[in-house]
Amino acid sequence: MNLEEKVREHINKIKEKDGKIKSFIEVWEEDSIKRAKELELKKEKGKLYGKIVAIKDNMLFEGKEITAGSKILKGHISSYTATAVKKMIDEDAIIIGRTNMDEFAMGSSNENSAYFPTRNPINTDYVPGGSSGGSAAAVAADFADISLGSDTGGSIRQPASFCGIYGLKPTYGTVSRYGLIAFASSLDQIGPFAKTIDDLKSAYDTIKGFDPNDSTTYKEMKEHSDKKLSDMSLGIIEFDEKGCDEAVIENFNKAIGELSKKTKKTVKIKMPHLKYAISSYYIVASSEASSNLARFDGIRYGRYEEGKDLESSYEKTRGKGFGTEVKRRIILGTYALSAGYYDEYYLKAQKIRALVKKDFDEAFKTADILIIPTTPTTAFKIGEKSENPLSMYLNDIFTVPVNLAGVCALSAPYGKDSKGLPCGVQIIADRFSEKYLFEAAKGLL
Amino acid sequence: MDIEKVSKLARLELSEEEKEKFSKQFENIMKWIDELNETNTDGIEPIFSITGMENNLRNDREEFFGNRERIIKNFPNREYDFAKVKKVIE
Repeated sequence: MNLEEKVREHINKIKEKDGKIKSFIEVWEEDSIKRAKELELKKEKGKLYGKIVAIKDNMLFEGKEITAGSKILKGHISSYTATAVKKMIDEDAIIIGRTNMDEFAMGSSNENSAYFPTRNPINTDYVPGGSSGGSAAAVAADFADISLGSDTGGSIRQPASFCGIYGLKPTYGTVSRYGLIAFASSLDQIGPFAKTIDDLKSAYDTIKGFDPNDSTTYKEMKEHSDKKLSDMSLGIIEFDEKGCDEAVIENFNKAIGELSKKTKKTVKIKMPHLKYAISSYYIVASSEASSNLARFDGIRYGRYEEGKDLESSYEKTRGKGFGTEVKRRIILGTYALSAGYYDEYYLKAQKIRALVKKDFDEAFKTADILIIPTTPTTAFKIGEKSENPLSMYLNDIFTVPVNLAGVCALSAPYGKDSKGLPCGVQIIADRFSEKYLFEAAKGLL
Repeated sequence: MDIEKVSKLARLELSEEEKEKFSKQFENIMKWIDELNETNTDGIEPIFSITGMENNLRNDREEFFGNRERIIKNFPNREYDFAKVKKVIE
């Protein structure tokens, strides 16, 4: 099959099945067919030659609409291309479309998209996870070989787990955020989804690297030397099993058994500050979001609502343009940063963040890789948690500590529950140790 | 939380319904966030840069962007090449 046929086959599959799943907001049919024809003529082939790639609706692609899943940006056209997307294109990937997401990446179910909820391809009564739910669903449904998502508190790993595929949250500072619509700048990181470890790894190898346009990317990445799984020590993070699905625990224990056999030794890891990570995360992330989203005021982008004066125009534009969850977090963040509360909330949260990082630093003194389930439960039903934000937040309990510490983690599919919904194992490694993650994930095959 | 005051600070218009709903939800969320105070953080330095990098500055030299027109086209209200804003000075 040539590339054009491959693209047409994927487009047909999307037309046939995405009406129900709704992983894409927009599919670029003509462009991808044209691109496939051009690539056919190329003599030297890039690392991602002919791979069909979907991108989350918060990454800029010049000339194309981008909305971050929000009505406030409806009609906004990208004036340049995000570095991570450009790198994929430079390695001959075909960008097929932009995927649905929770508005401004705030959510764990894709129900916060201003357009429509995405459904889990494994069972369409269930959510695909979020906020990169569309990107996860697109790969799980075989609409794309690889997709890009962004992970601020679990937004790649959690939907990867819910949809039964691989998802990688790279080390903070290894992948450029230039051209990514910011949610929480000190936590956001772009990463790939794929069905195979090889695809996941080639996507990561493609998008990583210093970018002069993102001053938080590392100039030098001190990557660890190759280490075989049999030379690694495995750390099992202790956690509270209360609130976890039985099937999640069962499969997790099986994964421990499997990896224990293949690693040099196994150690138990206590992380005393893990339980505070999630409240620290919600303060830090919401505070940064309240600042980052201040730019959406109806002057330079998207939607504008006229008020009686400038200030009321801002208020109306933002009040009508943002959805409920985004408003909730802007309010929370504004409050945490406001005079009189800064020390009590924001500063305190950043101190807890230091303690969480210390827990990881300690753990990596005795272990090369750590494991914990990706999520306490398998996918939940659409509508099940949408009226209870707190219970939705708590679903991120095992993923947010990784973002706070700036280390890397991967979610690998491992087992299913009685309803056939996938479980995921999260493998965590120190900064620049993505190679360890790929090795360990292979050990679970 | 004084939701009226905070929404004003955030330049965010909320409906009466939203104010009521959020106030209830924030009561729960803040109770949970107050767990932070269970931990002693005396003498702990807060983290502001997780990479440890500081002031990563580039040369102060202008660069040509090349797609000025596209940025201007995105303005909701435009006059010539300017974004139009309501009068702020009487």
